[in-house]
Formats: sequence, C-alpha cells, structure tokens
Amino acid sequence: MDGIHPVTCSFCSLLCNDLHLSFNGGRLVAFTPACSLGEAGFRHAAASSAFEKTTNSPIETSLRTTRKWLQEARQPLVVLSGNLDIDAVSAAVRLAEQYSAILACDEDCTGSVLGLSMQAAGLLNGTLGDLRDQSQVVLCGVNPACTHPRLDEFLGRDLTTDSLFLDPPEPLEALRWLRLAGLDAAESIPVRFAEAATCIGAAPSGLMVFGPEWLKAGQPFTTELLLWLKHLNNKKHWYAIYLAPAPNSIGVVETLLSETGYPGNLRFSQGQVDFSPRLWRAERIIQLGDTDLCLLAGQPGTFSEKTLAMLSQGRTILLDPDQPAWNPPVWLPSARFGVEVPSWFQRLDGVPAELQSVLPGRHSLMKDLLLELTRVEPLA
Amino acid sequence: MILIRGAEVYDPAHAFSGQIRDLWVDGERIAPAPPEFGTPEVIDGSGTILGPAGVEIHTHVAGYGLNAARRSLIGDPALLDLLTPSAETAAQRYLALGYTTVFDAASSPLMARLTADDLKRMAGLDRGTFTQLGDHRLLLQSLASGDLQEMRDTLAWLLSVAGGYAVKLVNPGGGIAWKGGQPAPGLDEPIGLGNLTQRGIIQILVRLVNEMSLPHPVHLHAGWLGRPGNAAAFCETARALEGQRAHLCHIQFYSYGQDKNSSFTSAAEQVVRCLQEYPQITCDVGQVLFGTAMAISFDTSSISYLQKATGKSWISRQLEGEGGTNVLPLSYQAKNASSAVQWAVGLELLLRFPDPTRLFLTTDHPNGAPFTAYPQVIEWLMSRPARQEMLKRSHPAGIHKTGLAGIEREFSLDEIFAMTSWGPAKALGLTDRGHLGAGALADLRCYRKQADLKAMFSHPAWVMRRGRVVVQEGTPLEQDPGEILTVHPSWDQDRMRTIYRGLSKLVTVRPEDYALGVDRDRQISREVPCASTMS
Repeated sequence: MDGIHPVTCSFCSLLCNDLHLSFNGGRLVAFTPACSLGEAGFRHAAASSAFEKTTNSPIETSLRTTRKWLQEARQPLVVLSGNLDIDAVSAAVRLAEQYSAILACDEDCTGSVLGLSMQAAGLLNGTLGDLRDQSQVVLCGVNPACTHPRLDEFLGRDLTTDSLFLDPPEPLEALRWLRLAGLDAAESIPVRFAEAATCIGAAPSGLMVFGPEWLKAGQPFTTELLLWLKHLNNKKHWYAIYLAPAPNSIGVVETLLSETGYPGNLRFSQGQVDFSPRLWRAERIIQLGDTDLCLLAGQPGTFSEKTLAMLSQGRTILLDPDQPAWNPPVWLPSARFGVEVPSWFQRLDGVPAELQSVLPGRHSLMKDLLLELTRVEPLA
Repeated sequence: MILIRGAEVYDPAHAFSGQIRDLWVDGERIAPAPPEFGTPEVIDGSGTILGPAGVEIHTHVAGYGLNAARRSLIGDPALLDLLTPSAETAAQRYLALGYTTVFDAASSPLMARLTADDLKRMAGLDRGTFTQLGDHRLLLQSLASGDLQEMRDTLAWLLSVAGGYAVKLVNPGGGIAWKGGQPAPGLDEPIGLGNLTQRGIIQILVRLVNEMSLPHPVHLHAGWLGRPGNAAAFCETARALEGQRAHLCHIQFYSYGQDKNSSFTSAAEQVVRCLQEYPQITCDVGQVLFGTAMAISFDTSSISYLQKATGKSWISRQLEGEGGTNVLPLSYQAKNASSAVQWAVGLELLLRFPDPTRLFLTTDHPNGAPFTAYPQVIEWLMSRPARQEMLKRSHPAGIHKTGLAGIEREFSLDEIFAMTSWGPAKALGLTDRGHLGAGALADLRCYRKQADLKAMFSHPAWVMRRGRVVVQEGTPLEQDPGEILTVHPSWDQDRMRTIYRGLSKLVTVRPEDYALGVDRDRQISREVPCASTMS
C-alpha cells in the first residue's frame, strides 16, 4: 500500500493541500481529511487510470482529423473548461489565434460579473486567510456544504449555522427599495431580507459569498445587492468572493486576461481581438449554429443537454482525461492535472497552488496536444 | 567582432560626450580596439548617436495587480493596450524604445508565481521584480521582536523564495493599519504591531539590506502619496534614512505644497534641496502626462484616499499575511489645475536636480503615464521651446503655482543617457551595463540624428543586445530569451522551523509551497551576487 502526503486536491476551487492518500494496487483505499468531493474525485481518477482507455481510432488519426477540420473550418470555436492548467490555456490561445477562432469559457464569465459589480460598488476582495475573521458571512445562492465542503475550515466557522442565506433571484426592485428605504419600513419587505439587513448593519465587517446561480441573474442585480450592502455598512470593510465551480476557473480567466487583456468571449480575426461578452458566448454560438467546428479543451461543466446533443452531431473535438457519455465525434485523451501530471492552479481567491502527480499517467499533456494542433501540415 | 564606425558616442560613465569614435564589440561585450583588425563586421554609424541601452528602474508590467487593471479597462481596447499590455507586448515595446533591462516595481510573495509567469514571458530583456515586504507580517513581527539575526534570516528567505531582486517597501505598515480600520500611520505612530513605527521599519530594513550588500538598496514608496502638502512628510522620510543608501521612487507624487485652499502647489525646489543633502539616495521621478492613467499600487491607504477624493470606483484585493493590491483609474487633464501642477512638478524636479545619475526618468507606468511616453518627456527636458508650448496649453493658475516656466535649463544628450542608462544601472548594482567601457555588456541603442527629438527617441535606428542587433528600424529581429535577475542571500537553515511556524499562522498555503518555493524556477533565472562586484 502506497501512502502519499501531502497532496493538493484538484476537485474543487479550494485546492486543499493537506490530503493523505493511500493506494493499493492503483485503488484508492484511504483518504483524509474527510471530503466527499475530493474522495470521489480521486477514487474516480484512480479507477480511470487503472482502466485501459481506448478511443475509436489511434491518437495520430484523431489529431490528423482535428487538424484537417481546423483548416477547413469557416468559424472555429475553442471552449475552455475550468479544469485546465495555465500552460494549456496559453496553448489554446495560440491555437485560437492561429485559426482565427472564437475563444470562450464554458462558465460564461460569471466570475467577471462579480468582479464588475464589486468594482461598481467598491467592495473589497481578499484571500481566504484575510476572510477568516469577518464577523458576518452572507451566502448568496450557494451552499458550500455541497460545492466546497471544506470552506468552513478556511473561514473558521460552521457556515450552515453561522451565516445568512440569500437565495436568488429575489426581485431587483426589492433590493433597490431596501437600499433606499433602509430598515424603516421593514413590514413591506421579505422577512429574511429585513433580518439580513439588521445583521449586516450591525456587523463591523463581513463577507459575501456568491455562487454561479446568483451571478447568472446578471450584473445589475448583483451590483444592486452590493450597493445595498455598502449603504448598510458605510465605512466598514466588507469583502465579496466568488465560489468558482471548477477547480481552476479563476486561473483560466486570469491567464486569459494576462495573455489577451480579456476574460474570455473573444474572437481573433486578422491579428485583432474582438471582445463581446454577449456575442461570443459559447453556448449561444453553438445553439445558433454560428460555428462549424467546436474544440473543447476540457469537459464543459455547464453546458445543457441540448447543447451537448448538438455538439455530438457536428464537428466536435474533446480534449479531456475522460470520454463522456454524450460521445463527442473526436476524443483526444489527455493527462489529468493534479493526479497524473504536476501543475499549478489558482485557488478561488487567486492564490497559486502547486499540484502534484500521484498516479502514473499514460496520456499526453493537454498543452502538448494543443501545440501539436498548431503545427501546420499540408492537407492530405 | 563587430566594429561600429563613426558614430557620435555618448557614455557618461567614461566622459564620452558626442565624440566621433569607433566602438568594438566582441561576442556579448564591448571590447578594446584589437591590435589587429582582421575583417570585422562593420556597422556604419555615421550620422548617428550611439549610447548604452536604456535601463528601466520602476515600472508595473508584471504580476497580480495588472489583471485587476485590465478588468477595469475592458471597455476601452486602445487604453487597455496602452496601459496594461501583455508581458510579451510590454517587452517588445521596451526593446523598440532601446531598453534592454527592465524591473517591475512591486510583487507580492504570496502571488510570486503569477509575477514569475509574466516575467518568463518577457523574452528579449533582462528583467526582474522587487519584492514588496512593507506589510509582510512575518517580517514585521521579526522586526518587532528586535532579534536582528531573525530579521536578517526572514528577510533573506522571503526575498529568495519570492524570486525578488530587491526589497520594496510600500508605505510600510500602512496596509496593516488599514486592514485594522486605522488611518495611515505617520512616521512615528505605531502601526499596530507592538511599538513598531514606519520610521522603525524603514531604518531597520534599509540598514539590514545595506549590510547584506544587496545590489539594489531598499526601494521605498513613502507614505502620503498624492496628497497636497506632502513634501514636508516626504523630506522627513528622506531624513529618517540617516544618510544610508536607498532609492526613493516616483518622487513627483510627494513633491507638493498646498495653498490656503488646500490645493496643490509645487514643492519641487524644497524636495530637491533636501535630497541634495543625502548623496547616497537615488530617486526616480514618476512623471505625469496628460491623459488617462491607471493607479496600480500596494498602497491601500493612499489609493483608498484617492478613491474617495476622485469618486471613481476602485478594485482592492487584500492578501493574507501582506497588504493588498489596488487599482484606480486616473485622469490627468491639461485644463485641470491639479493635473497641471503634477505635470509641471515632475519636469521641475528633473530640471532642478543637478545630478542625472541620481534622479531617473520614469512615469511609474501606468500610474503617471505609459512608458511609451518617455520620448515626449525627453523632448521637454531637452527643449525649452517644447516645454513652453505645452505650458501654454496647460491650466494657467495651476502652472502659476509651479516654477517650471522660469527654468531655462535644457538637458544635453549626455544627461539623457546618464538619466536613462548609467544612473539606473549603477543604482541597481548592475555595473556591467549602462556604459561603454571595455568588458561591459554590448547592450546599445543608436539613433539617427534629427531635429525632432521626440521622433528620434521614439524610433532608434537599431537596438543591440548582447552584441546582436535585435531591433532594426523598428522591426524586431531574432531575440534571445534574456535573463530573470534575482538575488539569493543566505540564511541560517536552523531558522526554517521558526519561519515555517510563523508563516503557517499567517497564510493558508503550506509554508513549503509558499511563493516560488526555495528550489523552484532557478533554471531560468540568473543570480546576481549580493556583494555588488560585477565587472
């Protein structure tokens, strides 16, 4: 039995770095400290790694097909999942530039919604260590017990019993009214908002935690909430963070910002970059049929079944460690970050975290596959 | 061998002031004229001005804060590209201007990997970063403890694991006070860690860094940035250095008096007089140009003050165990009195300060303006008529509060090369560049002589790095990867247990994984010796 410690977990965006794993014959037999998400992730990864993966065709054939499709494509689309490492994102940017592709994240820039709202309202952002001692925590449309099971430990409190919950989507008007009227007319507003307002107003400091569901309601809605908060907490330090759903959602967007100036949803054309958060949304483009080739770098975590069904019918290539049930026409297996290959991700608060390799890997690095596709060969 | 024949050569370090000379290059370095010429490659330098390549001592082109600025500029592609270009693009633009060595002014140890990633992308330059430790709790706790050896070990370890080249202090202690809900401390007020004051932090760390013989002294961003009447506090900070070697950055932002309406006036003369008393201090100016800029700074208390004063929205990210990074859009308008004072104060400082090897040209990119504006600033320094033209277009009441209009001095080319090459190279402890002596690195820039100084400095005829032309008439040629310059002062390994124990109480990452880690990423960096003895 092989024990490995410490290991950084790559199955949610907390990237906990204190795991003890034990494998026996390639099978995960012990996992501490307890975390349902992390244990399930490593168990699946170990089982997949032990299982000999096969594709319908050898990888050289798949690469040749992909290259041919890319060269023939009128408007290719490259979609980045939140499971990619920084090198893979850089390689995907090179590929998208070379083929004048649209480049989008599957999460549709929801993290950027919060960023823009925070800027508009003037709220602070902070890393987890600084968020630990805030006197009030407000959970907005998110239940960390399901999505980020060990967030309690980082924040030093039981979030289930020691925080306020605000569910989306309450009407925007209620929020605006709240901000304007304060607490004086409490009888005409939802009770939990009135209670929340009292707690927030009394707290000397605090933290708003957002999940993707709330942010889907859009930037004006989120901005309005934050302005309300600011109104209640004039001159106090309040922070907001986004519980990014995928392990490296933040790192992917930050790398795109560094390399292109934009957080995704952009089109490369004749050496220029055109950014449009609305026009170049991945699902919109697929559903409107505005792309004739879709290259998915990582399994998208947010696409609807309808979108996946459309993708399975067209020229679609998936680069991912696992072959999904929706059966993409071309699957290029890639090594699993933080399990089969070392790498580094950015935690949900932006802090870089080192990932180790804990199991042997047989597949190519995502970066190498993407760079291979940038190598121009004459069409057969 | 390469022979550059017949150029007007400028080399302030060796008192070459425009004489027509031949310059020899052997491999990567400047060489004495060989006894036998053989058949060297000849570059015709006739009609050109030749000098050492530029050395940038203070800019913000890498690291965590830049992406916040990019988010803020997302609706304006032209400004986004001008103020926050990608690391690759910034490197290309510096090379195209004739700069071959560039230092990013501040990076966080916690986020060091992100800065390192940007630095890796800046191929073609020698580059590095200064590690911001002015609010680092682990270091400040060791200072508060009074154990000199512990301070020294902690400082050496932090600098090394962060991949830094020098120690940066940004309004030291101000970030800790701000997080605690306290106003920015003055020099002698406790910051909230025992009796430790800003004066104490500055004095101890400046002395420690000098004793460790780091190539660059403490790079200090003082308190009270950007406020009317801050010159007195700034001079007090300069005096607090007690004559020790240190670098004070973007001093334009600290050279303000105030009138009876609490509005900006120029205190450039007072600041220059003060700095002349301390020959061990070097400075850069942080020149403002009219247009849109972007404050990117670890100085949370000052940016918070500016945010309230301007009413513009900011992005502030606080970092565990450290201070925070902040961005705030800025606008300097010629028709605004305060902006006019700020613009004039920068030029006034440069023109009043007698020694260009101690006060260097920067715009604190992108806080005062993009670095691509250097040719414009050089034109104003070299041509009084060009300055007068700009003065006419600036707010008259604002200009009246400065002494710029009455200054007749015009910089010589000698002084321009001193201010942009030799001076900053020397201040950085990089005496292998910035001059044309035998054995120096063959990093050169060559301009075709012309009356339009701004155009001349914008477009070098060619730029040479390590003996190879890398930019020809604005076109980038094949480039080398360049080097990331770091320092690795030694520390007592027995101290590691104390350091790790202290760090684990302050941050949520494992001490072994903190920053870059001790042994990582050395392969692409070059260590500069701590005793500055480079040839």
